[in-house]
Amino acid sequence: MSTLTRFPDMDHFQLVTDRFSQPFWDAASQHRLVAMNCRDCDRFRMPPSPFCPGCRSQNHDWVELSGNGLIYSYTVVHSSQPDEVQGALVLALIETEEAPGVRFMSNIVDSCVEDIAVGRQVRLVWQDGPQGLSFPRFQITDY
Amino acid sequence: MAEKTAIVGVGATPYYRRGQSDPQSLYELIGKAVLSASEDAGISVAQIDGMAFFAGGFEPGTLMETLGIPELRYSAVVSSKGGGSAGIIDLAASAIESGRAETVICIGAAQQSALRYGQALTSLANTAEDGFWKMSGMSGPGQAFAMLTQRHMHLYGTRREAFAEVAVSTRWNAQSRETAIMRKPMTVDDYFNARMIAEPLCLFDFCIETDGALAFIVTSAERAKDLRQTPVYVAASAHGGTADWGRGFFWLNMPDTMFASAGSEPIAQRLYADAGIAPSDIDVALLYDHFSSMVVMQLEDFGFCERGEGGPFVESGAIRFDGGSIPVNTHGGHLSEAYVIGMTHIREAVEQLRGVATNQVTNARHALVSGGPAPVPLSGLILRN
Repeated sequence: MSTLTRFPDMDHFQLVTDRFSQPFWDAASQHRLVAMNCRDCDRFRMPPSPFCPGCRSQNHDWVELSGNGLIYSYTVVHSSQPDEVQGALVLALIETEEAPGVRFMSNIVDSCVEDIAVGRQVRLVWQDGPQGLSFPRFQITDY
Repeated sequence: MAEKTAIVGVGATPYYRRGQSDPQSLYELIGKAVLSASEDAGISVAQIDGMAFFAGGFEPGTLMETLGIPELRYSAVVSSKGGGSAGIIDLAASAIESGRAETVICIGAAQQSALRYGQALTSLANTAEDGFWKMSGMSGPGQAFAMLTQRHMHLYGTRREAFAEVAVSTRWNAQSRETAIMRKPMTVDDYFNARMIAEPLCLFDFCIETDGALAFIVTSAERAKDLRQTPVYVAASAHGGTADWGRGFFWLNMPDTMFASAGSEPIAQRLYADAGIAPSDIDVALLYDHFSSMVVMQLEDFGFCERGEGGPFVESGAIRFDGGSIPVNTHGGHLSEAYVIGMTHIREAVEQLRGVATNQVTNARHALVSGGPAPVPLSGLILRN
């Protein structure tokens, strides 16, 4: 029997932002995944930060991403609760097609844990959490 | 080359299972380690004029009051969360070489609170940067290192058998070590039957949880010659790291080759250049083993095998005390002896070079010590006798 992957419990997540990360979360609450890109040297960076580490410029754009990407790496997290009951929690790093050079630390959700592997294709889905926050999650698509 | 500084005294409390150091306070544990290092060196505590700490949790002023240390002329802390452990000796060496201090006590200690290490990340203050990994529900360092490990397996075909070999060989070393918390023999079957925690890492890939304090006295090489113990010279010491590693497992955006590593190759290159020796000259390696797979990656970083070949190298038996080409963690490491944030590895290097180690490597002349694969600063040492 295959085990489905689950969404993480976000009830205790407390968001802290600064003026460089706030736009990411504002977009997320509208279910838009965006990445910070240096306007001067076209370099993406994660997490959002005050300066481009490549050219030290502060000029930047927020590029909206489709969220199609690949699993770069992952781990299936085990707890005292059997996965068959609550679903398996999978942490994963995702690389997207449109923002080369950066990764999103997220989860593989609504997928069979047996199907998860490095390099599998994923698509973006959204998890709505407390306080109007939404979190980008990823689902395997290449069956 | 002529070394300028040496470790001349080592002190340690017993190692305790998590919570069993009660009712001693952290200052009491540290005080006992400092007094024991002072006794070992034959140097009065009152002569200490410099302090170098790793990670902190304690203050120099309080320690001076507690132990009656009249005057400090140097005090410094290596920041970071495991990476800078070996860097305390680097701080001490730079203080002595620059003439700022003559007798520097280096201290590292761990006394675990009610919070388990596996949930350690949940206790960190929320920051704008950390929100980007916290949003995944990641709660423990092992989950992050599992992802580094998974990538290493993907890129190079590394197998869990290699991690089993690290765990089993380290346990073998601990069996004869009286200070070790975990001395029960472990078989490869035991390893594969252990419960998974964060795939591909199982229970025996994780370090143990212990309390304890260690202290080391560093002074000039010239003065060391006249002291009680065989001097253990600092052939090279380094702390730092590159932006490609950065915050490491908190960042997770490292370039691909760096991601599937321990981040320590730049440290390794500096150490070998400064000491004027090659990896083949190292007789025993004390590698920060909070996770077994990170030992495999450090063996690559420190040049004992090629990048990506750490798995087969370990599986060949190369790191065993009994017959390996580079014995690793002969004291039982963080996996089986005790986890006192890298300090026990410095102690073992000193014992090996004094010729009094439990699992003594014959004619050991050069010992390598690494700090943990954690956020910069990373660190390392080459000691010699």
